[in-house]
Amino acid sequence: MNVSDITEAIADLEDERALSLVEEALAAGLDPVDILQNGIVAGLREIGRRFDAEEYYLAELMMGGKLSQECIALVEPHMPAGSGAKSGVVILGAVQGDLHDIGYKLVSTQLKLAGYEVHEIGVNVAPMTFVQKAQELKADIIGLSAFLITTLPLCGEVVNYLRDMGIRDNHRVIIGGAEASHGASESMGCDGYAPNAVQSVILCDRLMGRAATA
Amino acid sequence: MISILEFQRRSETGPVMEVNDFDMLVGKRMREIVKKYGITYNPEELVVDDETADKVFQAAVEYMSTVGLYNVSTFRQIQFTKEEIEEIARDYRENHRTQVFGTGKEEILIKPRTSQDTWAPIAMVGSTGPIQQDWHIPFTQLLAQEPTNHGLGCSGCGVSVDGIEPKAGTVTELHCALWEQEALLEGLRRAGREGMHLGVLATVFTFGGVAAVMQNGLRNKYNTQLGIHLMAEQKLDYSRLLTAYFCEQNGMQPWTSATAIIGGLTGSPAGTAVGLLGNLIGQLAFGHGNLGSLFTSHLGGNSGTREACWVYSAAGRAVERHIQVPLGGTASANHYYRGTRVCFYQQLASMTALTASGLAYLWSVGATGLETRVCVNAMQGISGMPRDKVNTLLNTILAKVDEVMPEETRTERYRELPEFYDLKTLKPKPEFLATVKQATEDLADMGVPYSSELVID
Repeated sequence: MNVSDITEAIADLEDERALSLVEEALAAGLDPVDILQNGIVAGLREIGRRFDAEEYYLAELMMGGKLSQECIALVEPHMPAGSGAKSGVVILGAVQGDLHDIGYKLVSTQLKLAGYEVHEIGVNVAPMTFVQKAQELKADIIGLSAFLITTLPLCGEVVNYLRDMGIRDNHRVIIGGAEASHGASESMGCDGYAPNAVQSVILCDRLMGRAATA
Repeated sequence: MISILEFQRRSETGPVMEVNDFDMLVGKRMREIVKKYGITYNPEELVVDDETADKVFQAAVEYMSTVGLYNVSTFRQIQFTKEEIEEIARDYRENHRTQVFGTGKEEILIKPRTSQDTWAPIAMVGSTGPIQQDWHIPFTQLLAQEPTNHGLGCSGCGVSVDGIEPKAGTVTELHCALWEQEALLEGLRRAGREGMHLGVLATVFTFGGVAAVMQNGLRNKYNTQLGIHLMAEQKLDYSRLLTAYFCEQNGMQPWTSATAIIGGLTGSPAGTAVGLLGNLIGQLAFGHGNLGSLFTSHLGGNSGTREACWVYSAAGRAVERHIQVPLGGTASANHYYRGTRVCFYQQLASMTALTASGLAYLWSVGATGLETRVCVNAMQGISGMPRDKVNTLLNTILAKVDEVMPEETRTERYRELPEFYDLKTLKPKPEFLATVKQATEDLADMGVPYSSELVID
């Protein structure tokens, strides 16, 4: 078999076929790094390409993300030590009062494609919950989604907690959503604003001191 | 009809699932359903035929009876049977709802409308994006002083009041909302239209805040709707059920505003149309409102496109044929091009598609008073226009959008009223006036049937 078959199965969202191909590849003794990079990640990239071309939509992105995580879970135990370095840990959610989740789910999918460990903590999340989750998960970046004028100020609350608790330097804070902007980010003391999901990867890469992957 | 109490029971007893699993269910089922019913987006026929409208309705019934809603407060799916969905549609179809808003000389009646009716939809207006305190009152006045505007669909949301930002769920939210209601009423007074409908209460979202504003007497039953709208896709929480119950018990109208996003979980324009209708049915099921409204955009916020026009028409015509609730829609555009021909053409295209698809009231969002004057004038001429003629007109307008878009500048943020109007004289600035005149002439050349009463000044 060829790892490109895995790429194709993931890109076509064929769950059972993709998982069995990964198992077959491991059983056949193929290089797990090759399976990961040239099979699974390549499949995810193809999903991203189809999304950009409007052949796929948000649901396909989410399905692809879930399928790839299941495939990666099969490969991970076989990976050589030190080869699974992730880009960073990000927690994402919509701030208190905000139930809009489509935007941050897009961001979540794009960040996962770029190798980030992403934890979605839901909608209508209180500022302190973001802080507690960031500490618990040792998050490098806290991503805040605010769709409304009345919920945007809640992003600043998260920054205020981090500052007042003396842990501001432990976590970067980024914002997005219909009412967010560069100006709002600066005025609230956040570390950046991304107008869309692709830009969010570039922003996170910059904050993590990495060359852009998007 | 299903009672609101029954919605709570189903919210507490339905299948438990993670929100992401519900989202996946939405996505997967929608693709299966769209394929099963053979619904396809046709850019040549943006106002859809009867067959497409019927398929969209049937697909929405199946979608709602297999996916249902999701209560984020309880992490449970709210399920319906096919018979319950059909019964809701039948009840609306056989017992037509109407709604009166406004008072005195500003009283308006909203009733069901069809795509063949020659009378124009009720003209609502309102904002898109934030309103600054210094132009809040002039903005309302500008919209209200246009005699052809009947009411405000959404009165906008202020950024701050004397430096205090409205923060959801806190005292500042209510503080700013109270100031805003005074400002809205002042805008109406200056225009001599105190009794005008003000639409959905926008700044204040929490249930406690809504109750406080109502109790204060700044808003009344005749000029207010309260938001119970589902989030895309198909999600509600207890605050929506509480507000629906409050409306029902106090004789108020809920703001039943369906949303589905093109490219989102429901995917293609075909899936989005089905999702939009399903979302509307879900809200009618628990909100029991006399009105419904539709909103769609692309993921990036763009509206007024071919896809958006088609989605509006497919869902709107399905309502016309199978539910017949008085339906509102958003004559919208890509507001990052505000003040340019792109925005103006797209708004006219949206309005045309909605008017020709049987909508009963239209909300020209984000437009200035002058723009709404032009839009409403065109709406009169488009009402009753044959479907093939409308489709030709839409394709002409949207081809023009394709042509001029590369020549115009897309801004990062919405441009605000003071860029277009002199706030002291309340007159459009010369450059904006010239753009509106030119765009109107272009649209007339394309076949938009303006009446001779239209004066642009």
